[in-house]
Amino acid sequence: MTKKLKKFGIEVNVQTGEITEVEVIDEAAPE
Amino acid sequence: MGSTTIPAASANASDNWVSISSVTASGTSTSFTSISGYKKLMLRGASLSASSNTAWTITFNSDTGAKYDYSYAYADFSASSTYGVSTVVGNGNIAFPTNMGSNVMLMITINNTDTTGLKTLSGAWAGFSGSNQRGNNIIGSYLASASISTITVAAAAGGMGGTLSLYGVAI
Repeated sequence: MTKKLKKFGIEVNVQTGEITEVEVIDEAAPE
Repeated sequence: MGSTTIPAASANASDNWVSISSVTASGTSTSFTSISGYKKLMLRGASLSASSNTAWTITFNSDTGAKYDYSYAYADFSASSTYGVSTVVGNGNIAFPTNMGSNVMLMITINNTDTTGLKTLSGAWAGFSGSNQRGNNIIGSYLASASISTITVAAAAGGMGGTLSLYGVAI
């Protein structure tokens, strides 16, 4: 069984300076 | 006799790079979003790192379509026999040709970022892969009609650190 791990990254809105954590879609992982 | 007036230089006759944003890279990917109003962009990375030697990529507008064409020269400074030139056509991102995990430095300049036409890019990066130091330069293009509003740097292994900075030349 393949365990699909959640990956996270950050996005920086250059207009507001706001930094948010986002879940990154791992396209290589099986559905 | 009429006077002669030297026309004033236009506001952007030459490139006037300004700092847009700078952030500590984190996680598996770090993105600059809501970019607008710049005809050129420059992405710089200082002392970037990941949790292990891993694949690094750059994408524009979260677009993973086959729109990235580029050619790069690479060299392994600790093994002088390892060097070469390679061309990648129709890739889904700009992929660093060498897995790197520490002290990754990069500088990529992208042109025509505000237009609907072809975006060209050039730059270089270097980093450490274990005990080996690798260096690469790149020229390429991004075949998309949308202006660039998002730039993402990703390290597959995650654990990104270091500083990513974005500069631009206003329209």
